[in-house]
Amino acid sequence: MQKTWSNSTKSIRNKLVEIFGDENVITDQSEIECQKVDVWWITRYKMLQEKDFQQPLAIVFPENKEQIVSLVKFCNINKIPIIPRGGGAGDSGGSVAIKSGITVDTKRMDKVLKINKKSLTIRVQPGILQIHLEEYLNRFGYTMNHLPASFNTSTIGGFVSTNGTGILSSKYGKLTDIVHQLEVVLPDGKIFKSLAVNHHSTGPDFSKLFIGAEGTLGIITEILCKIYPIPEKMAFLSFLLPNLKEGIDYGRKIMESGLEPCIMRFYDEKDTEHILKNQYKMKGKGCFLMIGFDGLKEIVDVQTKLVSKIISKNNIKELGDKQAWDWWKNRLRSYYPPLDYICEPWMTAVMDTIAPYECIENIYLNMKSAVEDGFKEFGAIFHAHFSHWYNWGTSIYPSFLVKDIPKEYDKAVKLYDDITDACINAAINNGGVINEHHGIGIRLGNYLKKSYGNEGFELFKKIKKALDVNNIMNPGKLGLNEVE
Amino acid sequence: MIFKKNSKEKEILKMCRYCFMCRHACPVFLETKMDSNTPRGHALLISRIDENISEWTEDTVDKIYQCSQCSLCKELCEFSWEEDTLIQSTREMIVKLKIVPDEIKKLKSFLINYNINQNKSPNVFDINNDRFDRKHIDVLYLAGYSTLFEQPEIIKKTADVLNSIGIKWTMFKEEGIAGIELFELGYTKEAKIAAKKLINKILEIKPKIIITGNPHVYKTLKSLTPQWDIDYLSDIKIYHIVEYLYLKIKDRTLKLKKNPNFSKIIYHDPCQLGRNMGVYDEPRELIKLITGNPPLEFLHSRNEAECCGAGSVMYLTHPDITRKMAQIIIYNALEMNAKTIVTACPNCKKVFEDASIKTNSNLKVIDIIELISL
Repeated sequence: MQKTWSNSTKSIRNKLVEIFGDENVITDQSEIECQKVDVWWITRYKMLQEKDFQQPLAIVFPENKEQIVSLVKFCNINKIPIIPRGGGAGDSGGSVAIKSGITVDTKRMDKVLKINKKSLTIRVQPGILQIHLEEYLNRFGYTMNHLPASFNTSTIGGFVSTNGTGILSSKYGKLTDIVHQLEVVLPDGKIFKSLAVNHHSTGPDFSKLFIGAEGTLGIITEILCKIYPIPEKMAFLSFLLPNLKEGIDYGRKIMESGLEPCIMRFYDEKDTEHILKNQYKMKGKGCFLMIGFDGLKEIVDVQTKLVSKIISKNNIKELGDKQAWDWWKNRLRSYYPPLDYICEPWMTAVMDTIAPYECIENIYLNMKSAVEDGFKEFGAIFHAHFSHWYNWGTSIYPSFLVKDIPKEYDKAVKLYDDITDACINAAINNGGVINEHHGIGIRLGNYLKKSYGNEGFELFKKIKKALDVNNIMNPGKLGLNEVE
Repeated sequence: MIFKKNSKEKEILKMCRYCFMCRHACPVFLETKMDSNTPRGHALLISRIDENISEWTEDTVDKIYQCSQCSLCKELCEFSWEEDTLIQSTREMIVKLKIVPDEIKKLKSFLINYNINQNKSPNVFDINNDRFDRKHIDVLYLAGYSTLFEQPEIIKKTADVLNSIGIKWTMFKEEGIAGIELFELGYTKEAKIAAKKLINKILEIKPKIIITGNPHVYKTLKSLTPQWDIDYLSDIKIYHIVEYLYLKIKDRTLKLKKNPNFSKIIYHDPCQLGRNMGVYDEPRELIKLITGNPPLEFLHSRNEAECCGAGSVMYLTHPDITRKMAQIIIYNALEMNAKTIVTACPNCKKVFEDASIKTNSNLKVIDIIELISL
């Protein structure tokens, strides 16, 4: 059924059709319904309550950057919000049209433009799904080594926009490390192209401005990424450690030793109990540590031996590589319902945090206490794993879960906001830095001011104001709702 | 509420409505890139109606028919959630609620009255009249509605191959539909009536073996009718033509002519023959015997093969989407350096032919029986 358009919106639709062609302008309510939701619990909760929320006037599917330029110019004149959207799998409402406007779905801009086997790069349009990009690379013997949980569903443009992180990030980095060059349509319709390499000393690297900006500063139209030959060998080790403290300590020692694990995942007691016992039928208490290496056979073999030298105490149980290989081969299995409790109405959120080693354990304990002690009456559960390691620190990937949510809508939303607030503050107040590579969006936007401080956030607002005079680019996200 | 409490459909809705994990593979999504065309999108839209949050609209009903029921989502799901069953049950509900789009209603009437509409004389297939409706004969060949309607040349080629084996075979002068087309549109009652009619005709002939080159007929008789509360053909062996001919090669009744000039053949697995009925090896073996080489493979083949777009009679209900879905397969075949695409389903062949012309690809499209009879 077509949305009923008023006279003023009819002229908007006509203009959109002029720019994109009829087949690329979608006003079907069914598609709009599907795009009102992402992975954020609030949008999912609202979808199944009788609570409606703002939706876009239309969804457009650009096929080229010239169409985006025309759209941006038109929206600037008419002060119409633009909401870029990739896979729509963010968990913070970043691609939700809270101020209505036009959603720009990039998924029809999904071409591989060029693979360069000599310089190990690939140039792509933003709307290609990561799985399709990886399949393309694999055919020629290459990989991007960016393997996040939303591998099947998210676009490369979406990953750039949230500075996404895959499970191999300890060695291959986040999107900010993976991206060489970006092409962006700016809010005034001009096209910006950053320098062609990731590492340079040519003044500030402006491409970084758009990585993690969630479409608030422009729309990404082309990306040049690093690629790698598919590694000759992968090897895994796994251990059951007695407690969290020792696990973090061993992780730090491995990273400071100069070893380069491509993957290192360490689970707290609750995660170990839930994930490993249920999925892998593993017995025993403690914290599970899995380490993986990839690359040339000789290098992998040496690194594997050296890890066993670092972790060799009596109170540690070496589990061999079977559990770890099982995890690797079935790494996406836990994201399918019913194992992924996205299918349940339960209140959940991830609050990824990163910090130097000197404060990481304290942050974990404070976040855990903020959730489990602070919201004991609601049976709030906190669990976490540590999955991105560096020689200076690591990230905590914590989740909270409340199964018995208040029946009243307002109370449920307030509880969600209160737990988020307590948990994020526990992290920031103890030296943690928000690391939500699934998106900051609306959910965590208001914590940017606290994170950067007044001066830092004012600088961000000034940049936003300078680039986006009429505040049309994804308004209300990243805490930028205050920009006038 | 659409579905009963604790029903299988309710469970599927709950599991699929927020899950993104199979979207990348849904062949309709690959063409439209719209979330409302994905298994998740379908489940979300149905779920909101089921929970009385929103109502049916023409647009939502249409989206439920924009699914080729290829079952790839179920195949790739770690827990095999049956989104195809959900779509089937929802279409049945749409029929029950009498909110079927006019175009689907017209198609249903056309299918039910197919024999009346069939103006073509069977002689058009260039088959001797005495071949038809013979009783107490070993082999009954069922062409299938879409072969009769769209691909009569396949019938002639099949007849040539069957004659060359020297078996006694027959076919119906007026075959009618098998019912699966109506079933997929949600008209289950009418589908069962059509299937029963065909089964009764078959029982009059009393063949020992049924062969068909149409995977939809094959699935109806071998898989669907045993699940329906109607008599089915428990004593008759049912084969797809590729299975039957491969058996004949093994028992040395059939010897295929080699044609090494035919190179760079890629084989497309029809959804109903491959993923739904598990027939993967025989067509590949036949191609290998003729050309001397195994066929080229798509990036996603066998149980992961993408639908050509014709499934669930989408080539009649949504021809624009079908054409573009088929074009994707044509481009994929060209990327694999294929010169010829071979399939074993008349519907796949039909849409590939159209797509090949539309894309100016020069990719030759043939049914496997045409390769065998060359």
